[in-house]
Order: sequence, then C-alpha cells, then structure tokens
Amino acid sequence: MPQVRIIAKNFIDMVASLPAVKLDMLYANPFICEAILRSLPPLAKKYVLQMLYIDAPVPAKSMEEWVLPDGLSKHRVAIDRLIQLRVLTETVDRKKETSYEMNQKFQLNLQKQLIYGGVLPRESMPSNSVMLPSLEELEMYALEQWEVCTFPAASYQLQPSGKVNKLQFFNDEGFPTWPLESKVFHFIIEKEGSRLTEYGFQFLLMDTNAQLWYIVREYIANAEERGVDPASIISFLLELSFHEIGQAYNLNTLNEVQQSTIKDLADLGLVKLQQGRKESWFLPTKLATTLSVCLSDTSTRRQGYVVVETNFRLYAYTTSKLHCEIMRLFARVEYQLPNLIVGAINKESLYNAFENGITADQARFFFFFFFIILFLQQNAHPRVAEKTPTVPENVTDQIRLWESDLNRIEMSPAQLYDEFPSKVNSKDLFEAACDYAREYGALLWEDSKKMQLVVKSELHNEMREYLRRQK
Amino acid sequence: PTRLGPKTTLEEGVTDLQILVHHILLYRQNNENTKAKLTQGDNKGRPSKKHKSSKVLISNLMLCNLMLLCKDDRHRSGMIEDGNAYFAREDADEDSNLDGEPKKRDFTKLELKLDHTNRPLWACADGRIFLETFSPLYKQAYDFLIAIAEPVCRPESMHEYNLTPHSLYAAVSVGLETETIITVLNKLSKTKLPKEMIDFIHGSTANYGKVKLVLKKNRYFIESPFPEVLKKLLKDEVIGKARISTETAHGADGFTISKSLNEIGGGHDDLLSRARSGIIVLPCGAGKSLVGVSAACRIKKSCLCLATNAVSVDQWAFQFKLWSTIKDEHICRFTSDSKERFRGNVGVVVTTYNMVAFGGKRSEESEKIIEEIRNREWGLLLMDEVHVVPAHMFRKVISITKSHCKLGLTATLVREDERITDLNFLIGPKLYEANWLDLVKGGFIANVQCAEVWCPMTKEFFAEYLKKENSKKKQALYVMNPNKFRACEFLIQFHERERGDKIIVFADNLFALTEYAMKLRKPMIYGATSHVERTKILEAFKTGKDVNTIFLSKVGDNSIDIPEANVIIQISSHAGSRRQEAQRLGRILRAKGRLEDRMAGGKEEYNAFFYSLVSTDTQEMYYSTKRQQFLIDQGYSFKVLSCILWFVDLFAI
Repeated sequence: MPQVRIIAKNFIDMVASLPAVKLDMLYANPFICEAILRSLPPLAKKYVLQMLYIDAPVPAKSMEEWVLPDGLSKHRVAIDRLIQLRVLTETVDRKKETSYEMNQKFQLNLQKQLIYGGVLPRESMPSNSVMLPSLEELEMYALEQWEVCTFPAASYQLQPSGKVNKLQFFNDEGFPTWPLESKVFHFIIEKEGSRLTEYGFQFLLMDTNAQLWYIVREYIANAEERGVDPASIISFLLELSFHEIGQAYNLNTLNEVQQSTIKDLADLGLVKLQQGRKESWFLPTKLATTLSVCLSDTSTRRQGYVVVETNFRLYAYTTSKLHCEIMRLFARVEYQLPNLIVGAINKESLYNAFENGITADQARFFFFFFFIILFLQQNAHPRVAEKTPTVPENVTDQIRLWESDLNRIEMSPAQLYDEFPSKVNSKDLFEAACDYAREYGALLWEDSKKMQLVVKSELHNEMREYLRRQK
Repeated sequence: PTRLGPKTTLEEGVTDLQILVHHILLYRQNNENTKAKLTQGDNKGRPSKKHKSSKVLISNLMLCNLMLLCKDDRHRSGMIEDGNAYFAREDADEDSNLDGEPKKRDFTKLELKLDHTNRPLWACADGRIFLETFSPLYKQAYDFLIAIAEPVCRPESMHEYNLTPHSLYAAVSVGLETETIITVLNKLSKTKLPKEMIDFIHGSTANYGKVKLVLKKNRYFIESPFPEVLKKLLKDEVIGKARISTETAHGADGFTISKSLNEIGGGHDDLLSRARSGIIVLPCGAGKSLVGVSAACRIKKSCLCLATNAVSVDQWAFQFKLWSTIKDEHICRFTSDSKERFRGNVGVVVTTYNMVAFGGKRSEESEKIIEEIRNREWGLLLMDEVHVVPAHMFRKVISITKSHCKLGLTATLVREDERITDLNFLIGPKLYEANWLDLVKGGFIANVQCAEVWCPMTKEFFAEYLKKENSKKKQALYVMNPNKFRACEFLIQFHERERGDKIIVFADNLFALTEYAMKLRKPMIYGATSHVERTKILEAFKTGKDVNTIFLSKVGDNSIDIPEANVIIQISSHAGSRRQEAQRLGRILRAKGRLEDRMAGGKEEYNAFFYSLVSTDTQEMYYSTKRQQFLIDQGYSFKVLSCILWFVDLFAI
C-alpha cells in the first residue's frame, strides 16, 4: 500500500503531536479548548462533558460500564483520542488499576468557556465607523483570492513548455514573498516548474477546505523556521475561527506575531484587510470561520457543482476558471457556458493526464484514479448529491477498470540474447544461461526452440561476463 | 442518388414527382451557389471540408425536397448554405472524434439573465441545447424541444439536443411558427439567445411548409396559400407541363397535376382529411402497434400496413383484431404463404415490403392483389420498422401505393450508414420521439439491467486469434471462446433455475448459433427455419414450461413479438451496430409484473436483464463500446461484469 502523504483533515493529529508543554500552553486559551471539544468523536465528547466537573480520577473499569459491550471498540477509540490530546491522563495505581483524570487546565478553561461564553480578546468595531462590504462581496473576495493562489498550480499542467505564470507567491526575482513559498509549492509543482507532482494533482482535486487545511498546516509547520512559535499561530488561527464573518476588527488589537500572520492570511483570502483614515482593520471571511468547521465536521463543505451522468458526460455548474482548469486535468471540456462547463470523461482524457504530468508508476495511478473518483463524489451537485451513489456506478467502475488496464503491463528495461552457437553442446550453453538468469530472478522470457532469452537489464553486465566465461 | 431528369415518367408516382421538382431546383441552385457556399463555410469559422459531391447532393436534395419552394432567391441561397454549414459541421465532428481532440466551444460571453436559475436550458450558437431535467419547467421545455430539436442524449439530469434543419422542418410541419419557436426558446433559455441560433432558425424555417401535395381522387394536387409560390412553380417547365388544366379553376390556391396531361382537374373535395405524414419513434414494448392501430382507427379509411416479415404480418393482423372493432373478414394478410383476397370496399391489408416491392414475375393471384393495392387510394400507409428498409425499396413501395398519409414506426432512428436521413423526405419528418428513461420511470417499459460480461480468451484461442493467417477467422475465434460458452451456459442455468426466467440468446454468427444451441440442447430459429416451425417454437416458448430458452439469429432482431422473454444473452453481433443493440434490447422491454414492484425500490426493480458477452482483448471490445452508444445516450448504463468466470467456478462446485 503506497504511503499517503496528504491526509487533508488531520489538523487535530498535528495538535496531538505537539509536545506536552506546548499542548498545555494551548489549553490556556478557552477557545482552543472549545475547538478541541468540537473536534472529538461523539463518544469522546460525551465523556468530556460527563467528566467536566469530576475532580478525581475515574477508574477505567467504571468508565467501561458506561458503554454496552458492542460499543467497546468505539470506547477505546474515544479514550485513545483523549489521551493523545492530553485531555485525559492515564494513571496506574499500586493495584494495577487504571484510572483517568482530566487535564486541569483544559477542564477549567472549558468550564469557563461553557458557563460564561467565549469573550474574544477584541471587540468588533462599531459598524458606523467603518464601511463594511456585504457578506456576498466578502465571500466573492475570499474565493477569488483563494483561486488566485491555486490557479497558477492548475495552469502549470497546461503549459508543458515550462513557461508558466509567475506565482503570486514569488516576486520578480523569483524570491518568495510569502513564508509559505517553496515548501508548499515545491510539493505541488516539481522543481523544474513545468509540471504538477502527483501530490499537486491531489491538492487540486481536494475541496477548498481540505486545501486550506493543507496550506495552513504547512504554514504552521514552517513557523519555527521563521522564528515563530507554532503554538501561537495555532491558537491565533483557532481564535480567528470564532470571530464573526464580515465584522471589522481593529488591527491594533493584535500582537506583533499576529499582525504579520494576518497579512499572510489575507493573501489566502481568510481575512480582508481594509484601511481607514486613521485605523486599519481586518474582516474575517467564510474561509477563516470554516477553519473550526473543518476541525469537527467534515460533512459541511461548500456546495458541490458537478453532475456526472451515466454516459460519462460531466456538467459543472461553475463560473470559476480554476474549476475549468481542474476539469481539464481529467476530462475533455467541450462547451463552456457562462455558468456551466460541459465535458466528457474518457480513457484518453484520463490517460492524457499522465502523459502531460505524472510519470508512470503504479502507486501514482492508484492515487490519481482514486482522487478523481473522490473529487467527483465530493463535489457532487446538490441535485445528485442526495442520490446514492452520487457518481453513477458504471462510471466509477469504468474508471477503476481503466486504472487496472494501466496495471496490466509492467515495463522493465531488458536485454535480448540471441544467436547462441548452434553446435551440439550449445544447447547446454543456452540452458545454462537461462538457469543463471533465473537464479537471479532476472529471466523474463525464453524460447528454447529459437534459443532466445530476455533478461532484465540490471543483470546485463553479469550476464555478459558469465557468457564470456562459458565460452 | 438516382438522377432523375425531366424524362423520367411521372408514372413513378408521388415521391419521384417530389424529387423531380426538387432536382430541377437543385441543379439551378447548385450552379448559382457554388461560390457562395464556399465563402459561407469560411465565414462561419467552420472548416469547410471537401465534400464528396454526392453528399452535398443528398443533403441538398433533402433540403430542397423539404423546403419545396423558396420565397425569393436570396432566401433560398441562404438556406442551402445553412444546410451545408450544418453538414460540414457534422463532418468536422466526426473528424474531431477520430483525433480524440476536443473541440472547445467557448460561449462564456453569452449574457446570463437575472432569473436564470428559474429557466431550464442553455442554447449555444452551434445549435446545441442543454436542458436541466430537474427544472420545474422541465416538462414544458421537454415537449417543446422534442418538437424542434433532435435529442442527442437523454440521461437522468441533463439532456442534450441539437437544432438541425430537419428538426426545424418537423417543427414547422406540426404547426409551429418561426417566431413562436424563437420566443419560446428565448423564454426558456438562461441566457440571451445567440444571434447565430436565431438566424439559423429563421433560415431553416422561413421557406418550409409553403406548398402541399394533396391526393384527391387518385390525383395529386399542389396547394398553397401563397399565390406567388404557385406562379413560380408553374413557370417551371416540367411542372408546367405536368399541370392538368391551364385554367386555375379554383382560384389561386391549387392546381392539379396527374399522370396524363389529358386528364382534367378534379373538384375541390374537402372531405379528404389532411393527415400529416411522418415518423414516430417509440422504444419497443412501448406500444408501437397500438399507435399504428389507433392511427388507422382515427383516419377511418382503408389502411395498408407494411411489415418486415411474415411472422410480424401475423402479429400485425392480430393487433388489428385485438385493438380495433374491425371485422375479421376486413383484415387480409398478403404474404407468400397466405394470399387473402380483399373483400368489400374498405379494410386493412397487412403485407410485407418485399411482397409489394417484388419486381419479378408474380403468380396470377398475387398480381391481382397487387393491382388492387395499386389502384386503391389508401387512407393510411402504415410502415413498421422503417429503419430496416433500404431507401430504394421505400421509393418503390411508395410509388406503387398511393395514400393520403404515411406513418412510419420505429424504435431506433439510427443507422450506421446514416441513410436514416433519407426517411425524412421519403416518409416525412420525425413527429415524436419518446424518452426511454421517462417511460421506464413511468413504468411503461421494463427497467432493464444491462451488463457487459467480460470473458477472457482462453490461452489457446487467443494464440490462434493473434496469428496473422487467422485474420478471417477472428470472429469465429472470439465468438467460440470457450470461456464465453461457459459464461453463457452459466447465465442460462442461473436464470432458468434460480429465477424461472425466459431467455433469448442472440447470435449473428450461424456457426456459433448452431454449435451453442446443439451443445446446450435448446431450440433455435434462423433464416432457414420455416414459418411453420418458427411459429411452433415460439408457441412452445410462450406457453410451454419446458422451453425456457431459445436461440435466435438476427432474424429475431426485429418485430418478432415475444412478450414473455425477460432475459437476453448476446453472444455475437453485427460489428458496431447501435441499432441492433437497441432492437435486441427492445425484445425484453415490454413491462411485466406489477407496476409497484417494478418502480425504484420495489422488490423487483430490475426484472429484465440484458447480457452482452464480450471476449476481452479482441475486436469485440471495441465494437461493444460502439454498439452501446445509442442506449447509453438514452440513459442506460452497462455494468461491466469482469469476473463472471469466478462465479461460474463457484457454482460448479
């Protein structure tokens, strides 16, 4: 099984992987406590609420009694998760009895948050002092900004000459203007800059939220290199997701790290920056507030727009150029209308993607086809999203069959050995050569009548040497 | 196309007369417009491909035939050009398919209307129309589009249609006016209509329907509410000569032409109904026979019904008895085996195309019957399975018989050789084409589960298949693939035993048919099977408990009515014929069982099965994809069963 490098929705895993000290620091912020609570699996959520006001450790045995026998596996998952996040700590007493205690900081802050409600460290500016854009305008802005970020990645695929638009993230000299820079985009686009990596494909096929998480994760992972504490960024991002969409918040309420962070976030369309005569402020967009949604609920995502029919035709309700480019990655775009793209999926259109972009490699095929199906399913238009399956079965079946078609042939460089001397004992030479190759597991084909054999190239030198010796 | 000069005798009848008129126009236009045509092609930005001259001729011929006459020269030339542009585009489409290169059509500049979400369709400048089936206005939009455009594909959520000159002629012929078409289309469209489309509609419809050819008292009249058109026609040498009386006795609205110039124009009989001729496309099992019979009942005149073979003649005669109040003695069958004489004044004659078109010497008895058919003025000429009959046969049939109204019936208006467009001028425009998926949803026809069964070639067969010297035996090899035989055997057993189904196995290849049928001990019907034996086998299949599977060659593709069957297994077929695939599927489309069981989620959601057995890695795979195209366009989907042999082995244990 090939290794999956992108796991789009593992932000909490990242939080969990932080060192204990950092985690405890994070829990100083009540908003993070709430965000963590939201992210938990249902049973774990229930345990946290159940234990919220219990100060003493709870024996593992009595906790097990809370669930019916067939719920035990879910129980384990819940407990594991809570320990991982250091919400619970495990203690084993002298009688070897296990018990669990809640992280005190987490407990206190969550209590506070639930009782008094969250109070953000800053209040929104009165609406009469600033000109606020409408929510629609703000959403448009966010999506446009986001597409500006991802569009170049998509267009890489279509300009095989290597002549590509300068990324938004690079200045004229080619230096990164944004801390995300190379790390993210080298991941998506190969260093030569002429084509997408297979991860790039996956990235483009992910939904916006997943993409967002992906970039934000890289952003946090790189924080240390920039001399910024990742925990402070995490806490700021989580806090941001509790802000109200479209309200103005004064920039002077932010500390220095936050101020530089917010500029980066503006590039991604998470916030919109505006400047008045005296003051500057930021407006969180939907993208920012969905950060916390991503954490907990993967089912609420942006409305899908793709209809796939049983005749392999594809209708995408979209006005976005980016979507059109994404369609082109794997489909034949036939008509472009003001708010609809009409295309068709066929074997050629899928295989083309490889020729242009991805090098042939089984693991990559797997990803590619897997992600295309996933993409079609996840972006299903509401009209077809209610149906099961959202993508017609015959289409997904066929895509998988095309995929397996590619796997039927395996190519390996090889050498043909021919013209064995036709003397009486030459048969032995041929047989011996076959045996030798077989011994190394390099014999691909033999024909004893014609006295020909094909051997993997990697054995060529040894083979030649061997034959010379036999003579 | 056959060249018909002015010397052609007018005795050949109506069609040839029409063609004649139009040929004359055609030759003139061709000369006038050669230049215009080429430049027009360039203007439209479509590659003006070099046509084979015959193709241009055909298309022009049909166009001319359909538009009959033109108002003024400028208009006329415009039409012809549009026609060419359309055909050129078709060529280009084919080319682009060959290359696999997409042709990108960017219409993003079209202006979206503010309330576009409430409107159901998009219209593109090249005539393509997309229709949302989930729009509240779907039903209205669908009825309208089916009248003015040609359906391209109709799966569940989004339909595609093409505006073509033919489809627009059909629209005019059912009474839609140019302005109505444009207004309604505009109302339904999410965007402003592209100017090109408006021009195209104007160009295609402005000249159509000005003149009618009417049969009265066995003579043809040309009628038109536009005197100037008639005058123009009269100026034509051939038509002028063919005219019977030089005085237009009935005002400017008609004149008479006839076989002989000596005849005198008849009176104005308003008693004759002016039914419209045309073709109705309904999937098999949806009630084609009933449509035919009720059309005959509506017209209430003598009806000549043409079928493709003797078995279906019997079936048609039966249908008339079943659905109408006509007395048995008024229905007569005329086949090589049964020659029932026509008694009384009115009645229904059921016969085959071959019997009527037969050119050789006939027996005295059939000569009499043919003479009667020839001399009679038929109220309705009912033609079954019009898609299978070659155009020249039609021409002959239509020239022998005279009728007020021609009605063609078919399930699939596709032919691989695209000769189907000939029907447009031989019979009339397509009047109606049902949506298969809607009929399935309504429970009118069976919900068929289609499957393509992949049978890997056995090692030995594949080795032979790949040999160069066996290139002619390829078909035999992939049809006789032992794995395919096993799969076939398994499917028959499974459906007979587990479900008690009735199964038809189709094989085009006679050798395979006999081998399979003999090995599996099942009865079979092919070309050489006598009428008596056929009837016997079919009867046993329909009523008997012992005969649950029959093998049919391609004689079973059309119009053998076997309503009991609900499983089809196809082991060999005629290359990439979409029509054959659809026709065969049609054998099991008749809805069976209770309606509520058949609906989505019912206990028998699928109660009909269509298996196509394909030997993998052979030509058959390619053909199979091609064959399925028509059904896929109708919204059917084929499930690929790639591991059936695994089941075969499993059940063997």
